[in-house]
Amino acid sequence: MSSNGKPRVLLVKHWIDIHDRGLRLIASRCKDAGFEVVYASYSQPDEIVKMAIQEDVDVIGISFFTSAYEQHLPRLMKGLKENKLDNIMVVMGGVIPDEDHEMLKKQGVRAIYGAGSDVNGFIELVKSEVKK
Amino acid sequence: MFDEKTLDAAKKLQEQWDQAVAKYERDFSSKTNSGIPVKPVYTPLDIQDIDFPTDIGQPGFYPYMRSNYPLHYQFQPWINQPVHGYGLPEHTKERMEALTKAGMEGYFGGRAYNLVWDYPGYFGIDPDDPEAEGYIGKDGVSCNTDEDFARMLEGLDLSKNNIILINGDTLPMFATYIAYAENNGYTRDQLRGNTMNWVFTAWYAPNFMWETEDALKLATENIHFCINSIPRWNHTNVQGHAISETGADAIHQMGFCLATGIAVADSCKAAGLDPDKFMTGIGFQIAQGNDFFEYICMFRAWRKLWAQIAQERYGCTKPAAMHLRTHTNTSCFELVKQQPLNNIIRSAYHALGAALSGTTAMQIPAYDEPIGIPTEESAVLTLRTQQILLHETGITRVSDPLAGSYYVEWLTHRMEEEGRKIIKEIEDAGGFVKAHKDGVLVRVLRKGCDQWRDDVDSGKRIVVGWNKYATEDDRPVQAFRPDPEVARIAAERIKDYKARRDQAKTDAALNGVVVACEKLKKGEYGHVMPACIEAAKAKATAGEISKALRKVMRWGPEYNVMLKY
Repeated sequence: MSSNGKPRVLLVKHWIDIHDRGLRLIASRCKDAGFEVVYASYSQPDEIVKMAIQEDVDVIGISFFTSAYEQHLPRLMKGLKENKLDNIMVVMGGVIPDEDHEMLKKQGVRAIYGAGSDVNGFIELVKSEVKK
Repeated sequence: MFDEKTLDAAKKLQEQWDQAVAKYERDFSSKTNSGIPVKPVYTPLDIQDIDFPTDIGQPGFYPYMRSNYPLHYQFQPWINQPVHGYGLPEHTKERMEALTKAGMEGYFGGRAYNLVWDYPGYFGIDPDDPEAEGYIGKDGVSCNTDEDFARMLEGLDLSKNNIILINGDTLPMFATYIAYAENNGYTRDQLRGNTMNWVFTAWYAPNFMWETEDALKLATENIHFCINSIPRWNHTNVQGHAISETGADAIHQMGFCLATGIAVADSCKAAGLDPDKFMTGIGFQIAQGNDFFEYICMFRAWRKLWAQIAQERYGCTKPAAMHLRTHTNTSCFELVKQQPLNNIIRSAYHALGAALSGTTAMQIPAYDEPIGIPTEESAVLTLRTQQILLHETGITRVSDPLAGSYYVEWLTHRMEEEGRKIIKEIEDAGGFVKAHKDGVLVRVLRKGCDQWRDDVDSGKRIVVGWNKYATEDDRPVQAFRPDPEVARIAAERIKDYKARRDQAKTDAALNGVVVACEKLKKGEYGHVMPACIEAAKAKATAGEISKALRKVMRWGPEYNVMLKY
């Protein structure tokens, strides 16, 4: 939460994961909703943790075009835990087959917004879960 | 186009029509997806200023609006060019064989293998690099050495089949392919296929790629090499499809592509290359999307504008240098996850539009791509879509069959005007390179994306099965997954490859690439591609050659760029 009470959202994608139409849309909608948005690319999942600390964010939105989350998500969640950042809400988007949702949620992903999801659902989730 | 008598009669009929619809007391005009206002009906009055011989003309004659060729599908159907590639090279070979067995055809008995690389390969990252973790072989093939090419292409006649390398930073993978081919006894003049040369079109997608001016130098170097060494190679693919996928409507797809083509041609001309030679290797990858007639008219206008640019700006004299080479990649962003089988129908309409536009090659995305990469079944189905269109509908009997339609000719003319307008706007903004660097183009695309989704969310734009006729229980589609062992095997192979080589020889050849790049920086062409091929022959991997390029050529923006809103 920023000093002016706005939720702070970090949106990330691996730099070679170039299909970013969805994540750019989320950035735009977050801005419209009055959130503070940091949009960044990463090379290694540890960098997301660093950015989350540096930017003091409430939410991390991470997007994947392929199943690279199998490798990247455990590293991100471990990094957040080690830095006592479990309170940060992690949400995912991208091309994510339905059968993977349960496995991802077990790892701590709060919600998954794949192709054709309701963007406003994400905005409402942030508004309701990031308490002032 | 019409005599006085016909126009007088048309005026009277129009007045009667106006009276007939007045009783509805509503405006029935609408807008195309690009925002061009359209009336409910068109008549000779709308195209009276269009001159048949000069503005429309005959297929196969300048300005080639109707077709590049006097005879088209009657003589030679479009090339089936389905994109394929996943896992290890041998997995991709299986898909190549499945498509071949399913009847994939190219020109004159050959086939076009439209091979797509995985993300690491796209960016010149070897599978043993930590940067590649999670992405190896997942959305394309992991193929990084001449040995990988052998695993994928062994047994294929490279002089008869087109090998298409869908790969971002282009030169290193192309060099690796040439090394493989030459090691197997082919001469350069026998090779045929395409490189993307997307070192510059990656500007559109907010990718991380070569910095603008260096990108253009690398693209020009590839062209310099091709026209001097591999005459049959299509060196450049101006990627309209990506521009469309990142937010462009039909007119911006065409306008931005034409401006890209001009930037490349200007660079080639400045490098002293002959337009009649370099223009023949530039192709356009064109998205055919939902607004059926608008995309057809865009396509017709695009052929004409490119021919005019080739002749008027570059003084081309050979017809082949004025032809718009087209590879249709039907729309992907308009395919949705909800009720995914509907995507088969959407793509069939897109493909019909492309065929009516007179495209010369076609790729149709599979219906399951919003869920993952295609299964063999869904990939073959995209080929069947093309085959049904070709053999069962009768649309191939007549070239440019929609010509002469009042609406189609009027809208084609409007698309021409819009195309010229965008080219001029970009020139007024300081030219394409500056417009790109200033973010002018990307801003248009971002706005296009947001607008599209706003229209879907508000219901202004109907997407069947998503914002209308939605159902709770979509038939689930099983996602295709490449073999989970791919990453481990690919990394082991490349380590083994490096261990078996003469390291001193490899290092010297890689240094040769660096030296050649320093020359390229100063505007000296003709050194980098030969040096890359030498490096590949000295067993440098594609990733290592990319890294050598990056020692001199600027890579940008930095991957850890952070934007704050």
